[in-house]
Amino acid sequence: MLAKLIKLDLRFAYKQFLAMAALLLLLGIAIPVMEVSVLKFGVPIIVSITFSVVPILCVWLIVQHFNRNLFGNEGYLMFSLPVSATQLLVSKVITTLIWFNLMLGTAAGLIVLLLREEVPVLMVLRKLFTWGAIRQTLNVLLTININVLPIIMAIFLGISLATVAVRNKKIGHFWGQAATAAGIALYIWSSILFAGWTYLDIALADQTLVSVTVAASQWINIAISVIFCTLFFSLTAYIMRQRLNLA
Amino acid sequence: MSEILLEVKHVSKRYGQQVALRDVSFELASGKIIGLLGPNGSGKTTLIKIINSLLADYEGEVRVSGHKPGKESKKLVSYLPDKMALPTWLSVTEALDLYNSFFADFQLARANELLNSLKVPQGKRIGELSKGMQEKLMLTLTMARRAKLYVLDEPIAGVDPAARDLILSTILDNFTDGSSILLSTHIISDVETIFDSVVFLKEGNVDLIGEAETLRSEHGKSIDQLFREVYRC
Repeated sequence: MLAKLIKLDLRFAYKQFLAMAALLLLLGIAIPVMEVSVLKFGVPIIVSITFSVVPILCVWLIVQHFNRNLFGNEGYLMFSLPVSATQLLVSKVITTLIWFNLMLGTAAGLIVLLLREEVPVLMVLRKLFTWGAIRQTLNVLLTININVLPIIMAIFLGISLATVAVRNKKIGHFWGQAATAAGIALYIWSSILFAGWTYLDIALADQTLVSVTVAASQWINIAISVIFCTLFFSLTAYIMRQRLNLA
Repeated sequence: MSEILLEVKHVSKRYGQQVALRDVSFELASGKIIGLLGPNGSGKTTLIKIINSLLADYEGEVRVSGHKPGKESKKLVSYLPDKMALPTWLSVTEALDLYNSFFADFQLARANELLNSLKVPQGKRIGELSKGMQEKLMLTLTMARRAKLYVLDEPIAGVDPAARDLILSTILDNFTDGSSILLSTHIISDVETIFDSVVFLKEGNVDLIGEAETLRSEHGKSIDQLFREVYRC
């Protein structure tokens, strides 16, 4: 049933996410052709902007999909299917990670396209398909996913609180947003406190180094991520099982 | 002796200070059709949501064939909500596939027959269908299951009398022998003859309950007349 749910979830949202990915790639193709070259801003700034804007768009799409699909009219269908609330939530987490990584890949593609005049795309691809680059990419992906998962779970918890557990919309939204913000802040604070911070230098194809802030101890970071994911997941699942109140 | 399919025991539900249901109790035996009657806001949809696990926070006990509302009970209950729950970008054929893949008791051939008889175009997206056609599609998906219990929330609200007859005949022709129907409505005159028993809800309370035939003979009135009497402003 979980596989069917994931398939259904992917079908529910693929158009929005693919449209967003296509739009970003089109921007990557179009912007360098425009008169004002983006390169004048410098590679690290372009990378930073891309990795700031794309997650915001991604989060917006994820919030919209989660809210409409479970707690909007579509919730009448989803909660009538012969599956448990936990399965519904697991399916949402898995598909959200799939969409997040798709958008991450799109963001990387966007950067490559934006910088193609300086660093040819073919050269990037040649460098990418080496054992060292693949290992580095997987390491970066793992690090990002480990750190993003508790944030996604905190967002799900906030939406569940806002739309289901508290019936008064204004109070619900306040508590939902407060829970999300507090959850994310607590997670980041715990990571800094227990895992520490260091910088991971990612070498771009032109040998430019982009420093990404990562946890000094990945194992402690994983442990903290697991603890927070478990906490947020359990609370969200509890709300969906025990406090569900579809409008 | 017929099996008790649905047990509702002392169910109460509040939305803040507002009472939606107060100590509601009744049973539904297999092979019976029960009418859940009451004006808008009387608690019909709240009760139906509880039975279908869409509302978890309530007092009292609900059992569907011995199961609490949840994963197991949803295998037994075919639910028709009072709103379009399917995404409108889905095609009619995709909607059939969805039900077919999730519900073991869904009968695809029967659904296709029903769609043809109700003249619902299968190639179109749900959003392209008229409201009436969307309702017929939802009804088809609900009635094409071989469920133990059909829970139909206001299936005839907002449709013209001709469509009402078609919907009612579709329900009666397609519900499985031995299964039961819980049908909520505030339009009584056209449907009262199909009910074995009725539950009158008024402001969250059970105002009147009993077998339809007994109520008619005891009060010397039709269910519709009784309804008008109970809910007179």
